[in-house]
Amino acid sequence: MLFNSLHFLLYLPIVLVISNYLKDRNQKIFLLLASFYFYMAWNIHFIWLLLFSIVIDYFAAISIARLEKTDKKRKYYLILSLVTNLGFLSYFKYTNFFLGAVNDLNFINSFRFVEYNIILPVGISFYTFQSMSYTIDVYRGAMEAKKSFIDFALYVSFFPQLVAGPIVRAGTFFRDLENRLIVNLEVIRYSFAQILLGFTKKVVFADNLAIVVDRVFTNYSSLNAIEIWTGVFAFMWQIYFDFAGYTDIAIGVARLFGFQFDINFHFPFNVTSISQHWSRWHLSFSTWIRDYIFIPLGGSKVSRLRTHINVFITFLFAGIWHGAAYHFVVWGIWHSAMISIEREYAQTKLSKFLNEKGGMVYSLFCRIFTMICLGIGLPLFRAKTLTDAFEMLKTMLLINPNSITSSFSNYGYFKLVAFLFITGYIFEKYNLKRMLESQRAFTVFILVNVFMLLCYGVSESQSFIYFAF
Amino acid sequence: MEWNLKKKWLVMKEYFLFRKDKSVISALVVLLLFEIFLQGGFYKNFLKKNSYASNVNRITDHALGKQSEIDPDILIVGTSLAYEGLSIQTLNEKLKPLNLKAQTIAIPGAELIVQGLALEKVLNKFKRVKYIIHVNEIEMPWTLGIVFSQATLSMASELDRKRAIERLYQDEYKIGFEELTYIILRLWAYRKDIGEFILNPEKRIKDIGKSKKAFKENLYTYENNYIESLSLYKFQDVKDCLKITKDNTNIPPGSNPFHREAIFKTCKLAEESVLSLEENESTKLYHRRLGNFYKLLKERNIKVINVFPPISDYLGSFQYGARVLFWKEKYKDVLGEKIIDLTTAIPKEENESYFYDIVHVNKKGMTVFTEKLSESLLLYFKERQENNAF
Repeated sequence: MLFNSLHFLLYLPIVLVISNYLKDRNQKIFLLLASFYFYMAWNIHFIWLLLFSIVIDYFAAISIARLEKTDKKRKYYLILSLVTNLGFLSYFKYTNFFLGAVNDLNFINSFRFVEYNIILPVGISFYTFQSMSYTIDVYRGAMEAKKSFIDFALYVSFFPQLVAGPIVRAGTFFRDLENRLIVNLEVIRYSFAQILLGFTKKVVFADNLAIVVDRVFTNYSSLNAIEIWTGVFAFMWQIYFDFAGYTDIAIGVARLFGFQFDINFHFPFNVTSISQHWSRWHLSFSTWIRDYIFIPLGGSKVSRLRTHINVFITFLFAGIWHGAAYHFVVWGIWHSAMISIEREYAQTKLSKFLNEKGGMVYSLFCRIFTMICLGIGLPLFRAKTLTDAFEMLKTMLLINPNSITSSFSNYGYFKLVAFLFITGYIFEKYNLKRMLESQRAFTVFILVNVFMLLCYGVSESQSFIYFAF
Repeated sequence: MEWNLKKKWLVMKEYFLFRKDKSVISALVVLLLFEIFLQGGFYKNFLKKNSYASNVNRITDHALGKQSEIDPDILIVGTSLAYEGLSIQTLNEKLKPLNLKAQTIAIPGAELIVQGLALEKVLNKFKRVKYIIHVNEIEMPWTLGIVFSQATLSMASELDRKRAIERLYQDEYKIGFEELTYIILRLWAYRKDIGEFILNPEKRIKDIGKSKKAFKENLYTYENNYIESLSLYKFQDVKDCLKITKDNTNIPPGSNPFHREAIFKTCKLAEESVLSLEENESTKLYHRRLGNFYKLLKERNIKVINVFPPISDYLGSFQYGARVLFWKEKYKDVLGEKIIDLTTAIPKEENESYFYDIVHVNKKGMTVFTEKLSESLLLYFKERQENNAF
């Protein structure tokens, strides 16, 4: 079920009203069933996969908790959980990618694996990560195993975060499950504002930007450098509005049920470095890879070389998580390279000097340079193949002969993207809570959003980009 | 039991409070006031120039506004084929000896239902009308759908909306919640138009000035002044047309990108329209719709003259001759007492020089179409006057 569908607009109030009439265990069972229904609205068969994952992780965590910390069997139960989750993920998401890679390496002369027609179960990358983090935390002793199967099942499958995150940590979810936020008028107002804003981000901004992005990424071979850069920056904003919009709706909806999920985005383009970008972009994922990959590898408390290797492995994983294709792998490597160079540069005297004396000019330069670096990575993220991505990059970096020569036809989109960057900076310090303090500001906020949705909303709205990951 | 119910409602108390939140109420009031403003028709003048909604208002209002100068005996109804194809000025000059006056409410893109609603709008004022010249799109019975096109919805909601809803059911359209919302709520119907207006208000305001000036200066709504012709593009058939006109790279001198695009679109339409010649559910539905359309005219004792407009040689594969026969045979019980077939009115020689694109005539084609129609009408009306049957 899509948040931006009539089905969801009917589903949410019904679930909200019924769950308000129920208490304790009955309410949890109802929310669990409602979440299964939400998932089955997409595909009824894959519910078994979700249930299987829940049962295995519940069993593994309970078993780990029952054993002494020194008992080696604990590790086996953890491995069972990891193998199950990563096994499902690998099969559904990466089978064809691995077979294709083997074919490309040409190990066996003239033999080719055929591609399988495998449907990617929606949300699998999110709920497996969420479920795995729970068993890892129990194994580490960072949290207690949940005895209630209903509670754990609801943690994995709670509908607002089920199909595209945020990847909620077990500690956060169970804290709220036991001690639910009182949904008073203030909470409802805030949630309503956040959901409305989420819809605007998705239906008005992301879906309109999709038009220019699709045009540029489809016809890149006949476009010049400015047009491709415009399309690339438009994509930067499209993916932000799409995913941040989804997250706003998810967090807002969850709050109506008394759950307070952490923010997932915080003006990720108003940054002076790539690492700063990652501290504001898809936070539930970036902190996940930090806590469960980078730090276990030794993080930055090891040698410089080892730290760079850890960064490389972490971002390689991030790339592959986003999709089973070479271009995602190269995108991950590109980000790891940027982070590593940035770390090295931060150690230099020049960096320290400019940080102290550079002022506004240096800050502006850093922001522009960071956007360019992020922009270079985006064809790798969005293009259909690695070849397409490299061709686009050649034009963007003025290597292709038609980079300058072909005529630039539409400055309107260029202005639009510039407008988005400027407003992004202006609104960074202006948050929803401040806006809700004033009745007048809240009225204007509702009207502006409703008018934008009416006048500029794309009626045949597209699916959320992160559903594909 | 009663106590339980009260308690349950208290659980939702905060949501009921939110419903009464000052900001929410204020926003709803503003939206309501804006809807009332739009319902008052104040926005009609600001509609985007040449949009479907704007056209239907402009054409019907122009005809009504010029009633003191032209109180018509004959009304022309139809689509773009009539709008582009007939010069009302020329027609009126030709009809002068018979002391008859014609006016047009032909609207580009108008389905039968829109033509009917437009006719109802003007007939209440035009009391002298005795004849309707209905310029028919011959292939329409085979291309019909039960689902609304956005254009039809947009135009129908500009006319009498109560009648529009009645007629929609009468004409067996599939109407859902969204269609009804579109017709009833102006905010919903005008939402995209308002969006464009906000982005470019200057152009809209200038357009209002221009349209007011045009109304003052012109007796007639429109006169086809396009001199561009198909002959500028040397193509053999529809497939060839699509190849040559697919982009702006092969625009010959005398043409322009708009002309190129119009040719491409009509060729594309022709390529995609694989039409049968059989009687089917679609042709039967068209029969019923045509009957509904003419019912009003019969009630008012207004006679219908059916005109089959000229077609270009490029549409030869559409078997227009056979289709005209189909009309005459299958629709004879609903068609008017006079049928004027002008499908072959344009000379074969240099046929393409009379057409703007493969469907619509240009200025030269319009002159021929109007003259041929005038000749037929003169003969017909003279005959009727002689027989005292006018």
